Amino acid sequence: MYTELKKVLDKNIIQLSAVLIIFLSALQCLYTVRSDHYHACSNDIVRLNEDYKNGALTENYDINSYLQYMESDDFYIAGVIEEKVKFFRNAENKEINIRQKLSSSLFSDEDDQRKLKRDLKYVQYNRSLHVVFTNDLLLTSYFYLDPFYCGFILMAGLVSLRYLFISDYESDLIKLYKTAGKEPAELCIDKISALAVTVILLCSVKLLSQLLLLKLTAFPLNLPLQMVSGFSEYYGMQDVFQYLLICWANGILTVMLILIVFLIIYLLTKNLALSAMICGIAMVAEFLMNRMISSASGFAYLKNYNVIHLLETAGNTNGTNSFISIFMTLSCLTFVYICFLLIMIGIYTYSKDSIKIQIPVNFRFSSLIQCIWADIFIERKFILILVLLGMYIITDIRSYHRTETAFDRSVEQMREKYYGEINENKLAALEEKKAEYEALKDEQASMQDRFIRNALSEQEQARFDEISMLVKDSEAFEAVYGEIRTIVDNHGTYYLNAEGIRLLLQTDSQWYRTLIFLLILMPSLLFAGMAGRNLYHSSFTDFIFTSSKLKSFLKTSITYVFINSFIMSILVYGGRVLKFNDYNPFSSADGPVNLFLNVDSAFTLKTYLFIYITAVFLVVSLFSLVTVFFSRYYHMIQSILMTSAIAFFVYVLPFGIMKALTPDRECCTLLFIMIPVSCVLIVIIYYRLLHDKETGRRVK
Amino acid sequence: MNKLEILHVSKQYGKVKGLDDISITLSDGIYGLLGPNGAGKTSLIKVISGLTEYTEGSILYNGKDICLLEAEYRNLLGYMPQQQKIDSQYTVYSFLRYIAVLKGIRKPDDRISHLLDRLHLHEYKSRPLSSLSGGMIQRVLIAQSLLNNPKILLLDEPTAGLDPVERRNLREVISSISRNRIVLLATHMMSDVEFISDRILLMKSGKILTDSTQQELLSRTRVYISDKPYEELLKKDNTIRLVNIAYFNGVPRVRFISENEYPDQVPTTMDDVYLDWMDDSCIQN
Repeated sequence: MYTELKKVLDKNIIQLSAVLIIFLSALQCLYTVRSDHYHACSNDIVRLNEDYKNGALTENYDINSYLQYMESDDFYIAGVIEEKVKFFRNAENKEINIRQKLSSSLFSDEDDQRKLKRDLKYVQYNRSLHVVFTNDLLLTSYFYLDPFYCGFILMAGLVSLRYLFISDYESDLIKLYKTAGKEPAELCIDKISALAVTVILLCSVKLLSQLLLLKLTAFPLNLPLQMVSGFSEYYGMQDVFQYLLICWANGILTVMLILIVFLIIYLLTKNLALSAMICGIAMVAEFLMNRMISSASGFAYLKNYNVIHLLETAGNTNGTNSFISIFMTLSCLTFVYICFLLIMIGIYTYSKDSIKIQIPVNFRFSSLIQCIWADIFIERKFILILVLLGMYIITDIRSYHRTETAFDRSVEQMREKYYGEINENKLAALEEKKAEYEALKDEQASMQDRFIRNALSEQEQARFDEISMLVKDSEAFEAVYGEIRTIVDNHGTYYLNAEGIRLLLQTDSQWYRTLIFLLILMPSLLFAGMAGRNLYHSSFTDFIFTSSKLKSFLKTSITYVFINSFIMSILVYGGRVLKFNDYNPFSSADGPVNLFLNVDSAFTLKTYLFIYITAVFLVVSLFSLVTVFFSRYYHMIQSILMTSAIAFFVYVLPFGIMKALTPDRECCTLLFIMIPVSCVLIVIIYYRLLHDKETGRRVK
Repeated sequence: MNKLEILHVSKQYGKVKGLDDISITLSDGIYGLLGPNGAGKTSLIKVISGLTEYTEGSILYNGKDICLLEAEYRNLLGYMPQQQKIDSQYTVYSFLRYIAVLKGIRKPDDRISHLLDRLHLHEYKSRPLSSLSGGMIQRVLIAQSLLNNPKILLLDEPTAGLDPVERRNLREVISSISRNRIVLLATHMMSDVEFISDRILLMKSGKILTDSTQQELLSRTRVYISDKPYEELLKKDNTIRLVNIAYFNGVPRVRFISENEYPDQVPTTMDDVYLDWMDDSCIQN
């Protein structure tokens, strides 16, 4: 094992990773401690602590003085302080409630008493813990960047894999090892141990640097964690130190799991780019699902076992994967990791000199279309990517975020009644309904006092119940009424499910839109890379370029790249449209787009969707063609990486410009810049690809 | 009758000349293209096949520039690249179907079947290419190059990595298919060409040194043996090129080429010819 470990630790890139992790920690700490937020928060926390000691945190405590954060748009600090105050209040209230219940005859049952006493002990324990408000910005900033550290360690892990396993296969050294008398299982365990030690070392560097910096800034590491960041839902006893240890273990296991899965795919496919792409797409898809899966859907369990989610366990304290489930996650992760590890060792040990699966492909090719299809889907195994994407889309469709609270549901039902064109009749009906609700409310208010005093007659009681039933929907109605009034005030004439459409296109978040775009772009680039490799760098290249059907082959390959980009765009966005229709049926897509995109535009939703999906398709096709073009001169991975770099800049640039533009940014940029520019570039690259790279003559 | 004229063709790779003003005319028959590694054999084959563009000169097929013929020319071409391993899961049959589609052959099954028989590949028809031995792969590659019944057959080191029996079999195949077509066979092994070539082209440093028949080449090189030490022979005659020194009971037996007459002349082999033309170290010694 020592030899294998030395092989990895000797590499400058691994040493550099460790140094960079320390540097990142120091930079993060320095930045946080020096930030204005830190100082502002420190002062207020001192004030809060004093108030708490003085017993001032009562129901009437003036939280408004902290609202300055709200005004300065710093909801985070405001939220943290509010949560903290809430936590202490809740703890006090809970204790009072339990004491009341204990003395009540309703809970005189022995079981209830025992349960209540246990709860009381628990709450008292929590309150007796070292009570202090801390400036937890420092700690939470570590949590916030946790995925970055993990990503960093993951990269180092991949580099280690390259030197430990992949290079052996690439240079055929594996045969030499296996004939040198060393047991394959022993060799594999040595290599895995070396990999694990590398990952553990890097994770430990991260943990130690964080602990040291927290110590230096006098952060109380023994502070119970529920006191930090307002984790009021959590009643465990872990302190900050223990929690960081859990994060450390979680990070190691998750990174190792990803690396082992990557290795299994590599051993099965022997294709580095395909393995990397499968893992990458799976992780992006998982991340998207994790964010968008409703906890009410049948796929909610995925939220707990999501790899990306695991990477950022510490930062993600909301939703189902809260603190309580971290242990569940950790144990599950350990189990899954052991299973995958055994599979990997099995594949490594029991295979002969080549692990590649040999499936004879017996085709009766009769057209170029079949040839290219088989080349990419079967020979290069692109079919795996399609299966993976299909699985994501099915899960995505099935797990759409339903509205969950009763109020949300009633608002949704109310909205459905009013979707469509806003005309005079609708407005009149709305006003009439509003007046009706107000009359009912007045009537209810007039009976309220007598109802509390239990002084209603039987007839009045029946009427009161009836009114209560009718008035129940009034809040939902008011919400819808407010939305429609806003539209009318803004000269809008159409009412549709704006929230649903925003979710559909992820218009609220460039980050998610980018991820969805990435989900389309990655398989498209891989496909284009494979087509390019098939054309220019495969063992078939010479046969293709000396054949009479060369031009047809080139054209068919490029057409395939187009078709694939189209399929990818339609699969991902089509899936979203489908699920949108399933759960948020909007009466018509002919409504104007300005209602949900805040753009001053006369485009209908249908037009916008068409423009948007076309733009995505064209941009993805353009980048795919660029990849094929680069494949003429470079290898597949290089071509994909170069195109990705260009895509990154091109993608960032227009969105950067768009942010500075006024309302019409989306439609105008897509329609007048992205689509025409993409079309022109596609035509240019298409014709360049049909020309010989050396002579510049058109292939005939 | 097919005629391929290569007129003053040069190919520049950066500052290096891969092909240097090559002019030859090929007609029906087998041409052995011989030369050491890096002589420019593959470059010449690639230039003729259209895979690489030449920097100067022109190539004419039956008087027409191949650049203008394009697909029509590629249709006349059979090309076997220099490679040992095709990492593919396609079976032999699928691979040949694939190439048949590329060459635009309609209903290729009869042709494939004929070639599989001819090259003794029938029993390997359903085996994936990646599982075949080097010799099998070479046979499959020959089969693919013959699918369209080409008028110009370019074979780049077809016998590389094969054992003597395989090489003999392959030579027989090449010889049997050479009628009515130009076969250009690039190799650095004399035995590949000495039995089957009509003409031999010797190439070195991007130039064609000679275009002769085997007999012409053999008659030009005179080989002798001597019991005297090589250094002693070299002192007297600086035209000597060493072929071999073997020791029998401690007595050297030197086999050498010389422009001068010596008493013990022995029959010249093609290996002697190759060394005579190619080995610069012989001259220095």
